[in-house]
Amino acid sequence: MHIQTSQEETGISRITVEGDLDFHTSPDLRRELTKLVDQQTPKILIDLEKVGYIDSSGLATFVELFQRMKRYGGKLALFNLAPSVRGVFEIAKLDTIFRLAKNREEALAQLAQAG
Amino acid sequence: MISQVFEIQSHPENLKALRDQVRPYLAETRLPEDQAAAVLIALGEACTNAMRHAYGNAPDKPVRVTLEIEPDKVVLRIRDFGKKIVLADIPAPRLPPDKGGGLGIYFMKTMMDDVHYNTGHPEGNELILTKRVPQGA
Repeated sequence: MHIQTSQEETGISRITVEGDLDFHTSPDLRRELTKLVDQQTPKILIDLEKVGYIDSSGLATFVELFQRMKRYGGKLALFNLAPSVRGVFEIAKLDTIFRLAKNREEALAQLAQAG
Repeated sequence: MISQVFEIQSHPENLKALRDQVRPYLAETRLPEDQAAAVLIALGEACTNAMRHAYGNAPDKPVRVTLEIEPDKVVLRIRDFGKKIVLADIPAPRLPPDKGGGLGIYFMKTMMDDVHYNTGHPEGNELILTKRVPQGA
């Protein structure tokens, strides 16, 4: 799995994930996300276009991120989910609490609305 | 019937290679693509449980996966030789989850048609996952 972190604009970081997100690779993603959360990054965008597989460990990583960001008022949006990956979020009913956007523009708009 | 055995060690880095080995067999069945993907997730959850809970994250223990393909179903048997897992002791997760973890068994039950442990082995666990294959023209 490959993870790239970039700055979208002030206060918004973007993480691009490429590869399978499973029990083996989730700790790598958690490490990257922890760096952003430790800095209390106000808004995080996560691009999942190149993720074809996600399991419960991958979802758990995002749930932990979401909970930690909530504590300092941070906002999270995920976008470009393949149907199979989105389906996994839906089975866990995470589509009811996460912002799952079609694309980057929609994700940025959702974060802007979030204040 | 096709029956194929895959042996891996309990290191999480082996999960992807296992999925890559099983995927072509599923592609040969009548399972729709999304259901084949679900079977691979359930397989991953089962192996992850063996690695984490039966073997306590020890990376060098055997996990044996037997894939059986019949015209009307796909069966995966995930065998480990570690600590006994009692399915009834695992609580159902809260949905949506408010913490990481606890979703593995729920995913298997949701994504497969049948999930049960063969408790007859004196040592370790055998989790049996069954997915019905749609019949039709």
